[in-house]
Amino acid sequence: MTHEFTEKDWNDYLDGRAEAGTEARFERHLSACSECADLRRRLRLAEGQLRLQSGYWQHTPVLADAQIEAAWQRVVTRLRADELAPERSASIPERLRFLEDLLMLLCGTRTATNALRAAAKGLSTDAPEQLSRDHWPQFLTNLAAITTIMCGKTGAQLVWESGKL
Amino acid sequence: MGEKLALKQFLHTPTEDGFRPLFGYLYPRLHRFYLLQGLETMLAEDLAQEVLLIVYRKAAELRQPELFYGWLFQIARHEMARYWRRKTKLELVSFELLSAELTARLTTELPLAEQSRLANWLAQLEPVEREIVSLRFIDELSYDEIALALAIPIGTVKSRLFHVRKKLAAIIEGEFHRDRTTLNQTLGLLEKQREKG
Repeated sequence: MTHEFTEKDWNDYLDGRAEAGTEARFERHLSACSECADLRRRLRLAEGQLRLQSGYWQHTPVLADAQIEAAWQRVVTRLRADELAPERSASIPERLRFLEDLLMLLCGTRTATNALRAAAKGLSTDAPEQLSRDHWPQFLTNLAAITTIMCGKTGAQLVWESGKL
Repeated sequence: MGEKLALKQFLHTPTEDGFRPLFGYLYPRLHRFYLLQGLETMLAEDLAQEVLLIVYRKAAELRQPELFYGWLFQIARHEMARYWRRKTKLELVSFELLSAELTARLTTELPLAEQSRLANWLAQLEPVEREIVSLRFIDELSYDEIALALAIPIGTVKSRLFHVRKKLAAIIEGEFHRDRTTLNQTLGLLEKQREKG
């Protein structure tokens, strides 16, 4: 029910942005049409409530400063990883070096070395640097799983995405 | 430093140092946007970080700085759709399909009682309606920015918003009928606001 007005007209009128002529037409119509006047009353009441409740969301912080700082650190780590990342066509040794640098950033040197060894264990060789391209997908899957435990899902996703050959 | 100044400085000099103050404003905004769409908090955090990485990397490509927030939420929507594509393995994600799952979360994952009142109202809307309410009334985007974020013409934004306003009016009225006390308090508040205004 919009009578002689479009939905866009109504929206502009409620926002107080209707052109002068349209606003005057609205006022004339609303003084004669109780149905539209009631609609305006209900819409304004709802908008008042909506703005009141929105205020709580706008002014009550859901995240603590420490959470924002932690998120910033994760984003910075990602940016650093991008700078270090070799091209997609990189060889296995290059990709391994990159993953090692990335894991060192995420969880320290010793853990990085151990994680790479653990991920290679049981494949054709226990030494990651001797892995073949055939074994690389399984190696990467293992490494992502290990990284999930050590550094969480975001770190693991980073390893997974950047480790692809 | 205020948000407007942080944005102006970052767009002028899009460096990591310049991004940090702006990040402090945009990250909670995006996190809140995702919570209001019904995403769980960890996912909201991950997606907000993804969005801000893209913002940092592509800031230099932004053609209309005055529509920055439209661009920001356009990326936010794309990232949410990308997440659902990965999760559902569907080529085309319809936000409507996600309604039930998201709506269930909206009514259970909110930090404060007053915040959950708004979330309860939003939970009764369709996802596309929820987005437009969130962008207009909580993030206070202009119509130009909303049009960019939702990739629809401004006229459509306005008519869609009018429909949502009517729907919300019915939802809120329904709630008021169940709670006369709240109604009286609100009318009192509105009266005071009118007197002040």
